[in-house]
Amino acid sequence: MSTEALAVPRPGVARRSAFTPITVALAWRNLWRSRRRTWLTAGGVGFSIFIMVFAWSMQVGTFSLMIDNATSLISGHLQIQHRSFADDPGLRNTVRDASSLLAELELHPEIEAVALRAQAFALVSGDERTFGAQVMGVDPIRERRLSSLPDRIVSGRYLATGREAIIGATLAVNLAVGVGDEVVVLGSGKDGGIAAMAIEIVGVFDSGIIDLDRSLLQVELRAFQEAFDLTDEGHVLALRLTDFERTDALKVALQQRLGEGLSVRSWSELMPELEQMVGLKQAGTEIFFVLLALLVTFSVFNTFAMTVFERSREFGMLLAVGMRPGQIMLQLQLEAALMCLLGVALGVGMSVLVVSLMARTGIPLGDVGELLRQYHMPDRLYPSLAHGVLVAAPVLMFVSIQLAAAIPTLRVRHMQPATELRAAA
Amino acid sequence: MAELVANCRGLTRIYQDDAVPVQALVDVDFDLAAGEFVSLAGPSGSGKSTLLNLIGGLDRPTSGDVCIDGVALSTLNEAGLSDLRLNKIGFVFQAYNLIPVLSARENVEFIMQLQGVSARKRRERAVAMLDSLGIGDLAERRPGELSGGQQQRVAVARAIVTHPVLLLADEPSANLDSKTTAELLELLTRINREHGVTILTATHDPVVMGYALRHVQLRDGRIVSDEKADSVAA
Ligand SMILES: Nc1ncnc2c1ncn2[C@@H]1O[C@H](COP(=O)(O)OP(=O)(O)OP(=O)(O)O)[C@@H](O)[C@H]1O
Ligand SMILES: [Mg+2]
Repeated sequence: MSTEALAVPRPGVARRSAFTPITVALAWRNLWRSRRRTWLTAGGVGFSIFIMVFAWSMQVGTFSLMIDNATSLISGHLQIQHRSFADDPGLRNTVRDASSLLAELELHPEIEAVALRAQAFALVSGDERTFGAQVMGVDPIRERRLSSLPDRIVSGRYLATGREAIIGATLAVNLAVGVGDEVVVLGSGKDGGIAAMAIEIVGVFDSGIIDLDRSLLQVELRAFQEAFDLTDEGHVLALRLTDFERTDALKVALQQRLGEGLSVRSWSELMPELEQMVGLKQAGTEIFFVLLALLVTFSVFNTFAMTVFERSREFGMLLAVGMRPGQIMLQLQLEAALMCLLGVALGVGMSVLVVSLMARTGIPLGDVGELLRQYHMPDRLYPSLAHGVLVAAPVLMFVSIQLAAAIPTLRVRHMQPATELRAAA
Repeated sequence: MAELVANCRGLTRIYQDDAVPVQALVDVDFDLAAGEFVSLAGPSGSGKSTLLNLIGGLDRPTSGDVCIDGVALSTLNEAGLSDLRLNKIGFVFQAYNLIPVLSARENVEFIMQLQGVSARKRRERAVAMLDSLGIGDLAERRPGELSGGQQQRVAVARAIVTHPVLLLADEPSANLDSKTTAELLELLTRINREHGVTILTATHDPVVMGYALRHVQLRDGRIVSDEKADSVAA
């Protein structure tokens, strides 16, 4: 037998606190000393991450559907208006030289569709009754590319050319008019004269939006311009983008390009209630996430309280042979980190798999879908994988778990090796 | 006179945690010279473990002091005691010596890692140590896959791989049969003789005492006899 090993000179007293392969292996194997508990805890972490990513992805899916639905009806993603039009939507505040601007915008690669509109408040009369209405002059061909209103015609057809009009369903009922009837529009022109037009109704639309159905009348743009003394001008250039996520970026770019006289407004400015609702729902979801993280924190706390209790004799031995309490605690935090990583792997894997699958097939909405169809929403929801949450949820879990493990682990500081070893004997 | 590895003066340890204070050790003076192999005997509750714990820096005396290798333990804080245990003392307990999820070699390496020995040297020395203790072929087994005697050999390997000045063993053979006990004691004897490692072992077992060169008897926390062995086994 060789005894050379005993003759090696005494090592230095330097301590190394860095994680070495042994400490990592030790932490990993310790996790599997209680398989069931580790799977349960890591599974809980994974499931929470999945729930977070899934919930957020569904929400993003719903929101983009809602936003898409809302913007495609009529408003578009961006609108170019006269600087004062937002505060004073008077006939005077127009965008000049509209056709050249329109032509230029149509060449922009990020703009899918552009439509010029002119609008004014006027009195609309049927045979017997008169109501105030929003009269809007539109270019039917361009309008079809930008707005879904042409698809919401419930009787008759959408505008073609000439002196024809489409009318909101409620307004039609109020005026007691229908397809084929003539209405008279009476307002004041840009120069102060009387603007009047007698015009035939060719279609009735039902958009599901009460305001529009009750007050909107669309006519052909040129007829409108003629009647209201407008030249090559309109009040709104509505823009539909190829990617609505680019709304804010494009708004800034266009505003810079167009200068002071015109103002570029985004859908969230045009429909502030829509964005407020999205923000509110997301805040609610975030609170739910925090509660979920708290639940996981309790379960991890419990797991580590058990671990520290069960392994106290081992910790006594480790303290006895010269391991410091801080090193044991670090070791336990490393175990918590590995457990978290296991949960993160499970959760992220499951999220990516399920969400990308559903993003492709869509989630049928069943009875709710029936209801939504009335509002021209699709009957399937397509969740959109929330990359931000895919990162944020694991980070939230990691921090919660480290804190949860640290509390029971602190007990190691007060362990006396002699006491723990005696308890073991 | 040989240099003193351990030097205890007026050691008293009173446990206060129960309703009645227990005087586990009363005014004990005790020295260990370099190279000694001492057995500590006495009835259960006589204070053997208490004395070992005080000498090993696992516990602090109620009064009196211990010097290890010239350092008074009363001058050390918790971290200092921890370092002393790591670098100057080797421990072998009755049970629960090893980390169950690490192999024999990893258990031995682990202690050197705490000392900051480089990965390559750790491995070399762990393997060489296990070889020299005759359990090189068991290096990759975990404690659960080893017999009690084999586990105690690994514990000895871990205890001496750090080159301690003193090896403390608290009833290391209590869970072993007589044949394995003899093998373990022969190993300790070899370590003591060939490498001059000072050994203090608490024991009930006359066989164990047979291997020691000096016998100390405790009773009710006091040393009642302390004599050189007339003859030594093996
Ligand atoms: N942590 C403690 N708290 C209270 N009393 C203790 C503690 N440790 C030891 N004692 C008491 O001190 C006395 C000496 O105990 P010690 O463990 O030193 O004896 P021992 O000689 O090692 O006994 P054994 O042979 O049974 O191991 C006993 O009466 C014991 O009950
Ligand atoms: Mg004892």
